[in-house]
Amino acid sequence: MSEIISQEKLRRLVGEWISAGKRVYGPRRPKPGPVLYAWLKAADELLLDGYVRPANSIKEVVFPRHEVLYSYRLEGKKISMGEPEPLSAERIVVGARPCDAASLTILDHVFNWDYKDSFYNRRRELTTVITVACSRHDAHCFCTSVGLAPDAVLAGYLAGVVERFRESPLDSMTGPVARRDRASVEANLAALAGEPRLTALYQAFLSSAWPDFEKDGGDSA
Amino acid sequence: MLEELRQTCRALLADGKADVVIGYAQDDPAMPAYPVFVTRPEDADRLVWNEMCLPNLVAYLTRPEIKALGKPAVVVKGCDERALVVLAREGQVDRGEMVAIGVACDGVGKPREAKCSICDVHQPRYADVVMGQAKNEPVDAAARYAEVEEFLKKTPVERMAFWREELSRCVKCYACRQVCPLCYCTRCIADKNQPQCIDTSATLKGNFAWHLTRAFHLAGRCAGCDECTRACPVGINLRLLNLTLARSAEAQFGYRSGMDPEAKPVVGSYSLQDKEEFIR
Amino acid sequence: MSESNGFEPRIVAYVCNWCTYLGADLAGTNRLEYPPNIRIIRLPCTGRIDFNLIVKAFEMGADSVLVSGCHPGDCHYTAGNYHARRRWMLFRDLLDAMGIDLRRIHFTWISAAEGKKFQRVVTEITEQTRALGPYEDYRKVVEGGAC
Repeated sequence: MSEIISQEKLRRLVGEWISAGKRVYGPRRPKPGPVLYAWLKAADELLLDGYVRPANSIKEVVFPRHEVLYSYRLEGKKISMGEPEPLSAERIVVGARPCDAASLTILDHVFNWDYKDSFYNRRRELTTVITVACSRHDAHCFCTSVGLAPDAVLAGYLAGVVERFRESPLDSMTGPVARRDRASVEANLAALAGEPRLTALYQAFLSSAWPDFEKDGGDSA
Repeated sequence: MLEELRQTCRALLADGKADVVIGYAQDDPAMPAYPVFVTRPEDADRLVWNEMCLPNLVAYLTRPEIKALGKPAVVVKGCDERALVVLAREGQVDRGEMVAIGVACDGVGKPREAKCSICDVHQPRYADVVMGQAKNEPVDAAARYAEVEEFLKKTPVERMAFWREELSRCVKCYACRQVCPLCYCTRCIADKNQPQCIDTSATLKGNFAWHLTRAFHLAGRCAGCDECTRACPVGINLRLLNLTLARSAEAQFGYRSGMDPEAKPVVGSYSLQDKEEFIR
Repeated sequence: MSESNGFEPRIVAYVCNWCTYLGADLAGTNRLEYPPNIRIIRLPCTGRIDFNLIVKAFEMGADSVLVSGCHPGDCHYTAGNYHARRRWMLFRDLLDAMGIDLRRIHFTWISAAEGKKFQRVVTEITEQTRALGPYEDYRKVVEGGAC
């Protein structure tokens, strides 16, 4: 049994997250001009189609432009140090592109390879990323040149916006299944290997949409 | 006109009247044309001229790596030419040591850039050679600054709220500075750190400091090419900020930058008659 | 909370060395009392004032800013104050468009002989600023922090 969520219900979910005090980050168009990832104040700010990808990245969520690391107070000769309030609000990125989500894997490595950056890690722990696969690209896209794909799954949970699947079959993680592209489906499965829940979801979808996958050689990609 | 442009550039290079032609080339007709630096006559065929020729090529005239290429010829639309006039006035280019190739222009951009609807320099006026014919209809100041007038209907509190929202998006990429033909300081005040004059962080405080400074440093100089607005990756309405100061310069001093090569610049000169109602 | 009934405005004054500063000095030697809310910053000439300084004063928490120099024609460096005046005329419009409260920015000409004028101006500005309250809007910009 595959799970499908409609755009309307996704927005409702986003609305509930916002009301519950979670911080939601997603594509919005602040005014005529570029679409940007930004903190959403309301669910109807979330923009799910009509553009290729936002002009900025999701880096802000885990590595903000500016943050207070510590503070200090001098009183005569006395120095007292202060720590910023520890972050507690959960943050959810909705509608990230796979290329943007993949960057988090690299950042995880950068902020942990020699020193465990507690500021980064705290934000990372609190962050959940929900990607939306790409149904179109422009002349500047190059995910395939760096080993990614419009439907790649690397970090975070997957929620295909399956409404679009009904309109354009070459979409989301369902695309390779619909195209019977064995190599891509196997690549997707390999990427999901460490996550039993997602694997189960994908397997369920696969068995309903491509029942002969196990036996069928499939068309070449 | 395109053939005429290419032929003119070919001849300039072949006759040694220019060492480099700074013009437009384009691969994808749907994308803006990009700058190209042609040094061989046969490469003049790469030059294009169409409504996607958006960049202001005058910005390259003050770059040391371009100056090193030799005597330049630069393709200019009317708006670009205004920047050239300002640069010449400020002693940054020697008009006698370069060739300005004017192109008559009906407007650029798809959709049309905002600046085009109030343009009164469709036909370049000070170029050494001009391709094409266009009419320069005067535009009255009310139309020219309509966007600012509209904006000033907001209360000060609303204006502050507007700029707080706009400037919160700034990431201090400095694309606006990079693309501006009049931001040619080899050491920008934003780069000074002993002491630091402008907070360089991408916080609201730093963003206000930068944009106030840049707008003010362009007061009475900005040519209104709007390349800064187009270059901004997060869509900040820099046009509005620059237009505000242009309006102030015209309203208070009757001055428009880049329109008259002989006019005295507004900042850097003064008059004993300058109004001072606001000074106690 | 001392804020509500004890708000003491903080006023930064950028003054020129040859006129206004000496005027302030004269006020002092004549024992003319003026509110202590003012912090005087001495510069050689108003022409040297970079308008960032006004912005910086607000960034650092000033509630009002005063810029004061020699009367036109009396500048120690001949024309510094004319240049300053020209710049002020444009800068005010920029600040106004940004929504910065122009009631908190004051420009005056105060000569070395005008100790009384200095006293009057500082007293007026302090009272006006006290009535306006602290400059919350710019504090919000400064504390805006991470965007």
